[in-house]
Amino acid sequence: MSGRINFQLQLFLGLVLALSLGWLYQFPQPATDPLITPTPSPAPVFQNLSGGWLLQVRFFQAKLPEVVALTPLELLRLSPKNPQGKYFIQILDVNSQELFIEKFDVYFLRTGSSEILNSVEQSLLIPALDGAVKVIIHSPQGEISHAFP
Amino acid sequence: MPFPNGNTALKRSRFLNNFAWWLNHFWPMPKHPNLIGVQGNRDIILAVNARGYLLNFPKSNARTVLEIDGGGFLPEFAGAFNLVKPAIIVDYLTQYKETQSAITTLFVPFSIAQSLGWEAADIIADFSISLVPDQPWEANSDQKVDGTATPSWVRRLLVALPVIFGQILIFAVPLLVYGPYSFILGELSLLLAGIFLAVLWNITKVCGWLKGLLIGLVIGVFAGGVFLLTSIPLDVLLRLIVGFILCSVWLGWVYEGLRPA
Repeated sequence: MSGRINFQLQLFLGLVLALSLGWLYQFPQPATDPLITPTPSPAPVFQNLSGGWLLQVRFFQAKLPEVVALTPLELLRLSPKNPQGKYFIQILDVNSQELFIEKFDVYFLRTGSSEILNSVEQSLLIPALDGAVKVIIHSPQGEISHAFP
Repeated sequence: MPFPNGNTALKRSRFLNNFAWWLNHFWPMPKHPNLIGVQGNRDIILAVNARGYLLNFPKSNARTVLEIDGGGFLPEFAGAFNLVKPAIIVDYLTQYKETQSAITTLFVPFSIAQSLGWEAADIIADFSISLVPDQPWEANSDQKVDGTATPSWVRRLLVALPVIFGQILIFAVPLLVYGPYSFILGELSLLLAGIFLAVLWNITKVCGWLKGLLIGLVIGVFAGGVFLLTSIPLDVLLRLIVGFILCSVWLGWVYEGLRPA
C-alpha cells in the first residue's frame, strides 16, 4: 500500500497540520512584570466601569473557577488614595495547608494627557490545587479574601 | 569507470540545474517514471524520477534511461529509505528485453543497488549489473561505487536531515502565527520526530504514515511515562505527545515521497 500523495495535496495538508500544531502548542504564558511590559486588559465586560482596575488571577489547570476578579471598588477599598503599588496574594490549600505566595504590582496606564485608571489584567500562574482554596490579597492598607468552592 | 561520463548534456543553464539538484535534497520533486531512449540500445542506465537529478543527468543517444519511481527523491534518499521497488524495474527490463537479443548492461546508481542488494556482475532479468556513482556527472566519483561500512541508519539520518529542514521551513510561518512558544515547540517536535523516524525506518515494513504512527505512539507513550515523573502538568504533556505523534505521521508520509502531479 503506497501512501504517496501529490504536491498540492501535501502542501495543503502540511499547512493544516502546521496550523493545528501551532494551536495545540498554545500554552499559558508565564506572567510578566507589568511594570516592564504593561498589558492593557481587553476585557469588554468591565468597560462599563469606566476606568477602573481589573486584576485577574488565573489558575493553571485547577478544578477551580479560573479567574478571581477584583473589581475597582475592591482595590480602591484596599488602597483608597493610591491603588498603584505592591500587593501580595496568598493562596492557601485548605486541605493540605499548603501556601503559595505571589507578588504583583498594580500600575496606572496613561491615556493622552489625563491620567486614567484603565482596566489592567495580570495573570499569575498558580500550581494546580484540587481541594478547597482560600485566596487572600494583601496590601499595606488591608486585605480581601475569596474562598473556593 | 564502467559508465562513460558522456556529455551531450542539456543546454540549460548549469546554474539552474545545479540549483534544482540542490533543492531536491530538501523536497521531493517527482517526474512521471519513464523509459527514454532509442530502440536498439544495448545499455540501460537506471535513474530516479527526481527532477533536480534528471536535469543534471548526462544524456546520450547511445543509452536508454530508465527513470524509476523513487518518490521524487535523489538516489541516496530513495536508496536509504528503500523507495525503489525491484519488481517494477524487473517489469521494465523484461519488456525491454523483448526487443533485444544480446546480453545488455544495466548501470545502477550505487545507493539504489545497495538498497536492492544488487552487486556488480549480478544478472537481473538477463541484464548484467554494473554500478555507477549516484551522481554520474560528478568528476572523480569513481571511488564512490566501492561502498562504505556506514550503517544504514546513519545514511538514512544524513539524507533525512535536509528533508526535515525543508519541512521545518514550510511549517515556520503557520507556527509563528501562534507565537514563539508554538513555533519553537512545533519545530522541535518536527525535528525529533524526523530523526527518530529516520533512524527506526526499517523497523517495520508497513507504509510510511502507518510507520510514523507506530513509532510516534511508542516513543510518545514512553517519553510521556518518563516525563510524568517530572512536574510538567498533564494537559501540557498530553498536548506535546499528540503533537509529536502528528509530526511523526506527517514525516512518515513525507519520507515516502510524492506522486507526480
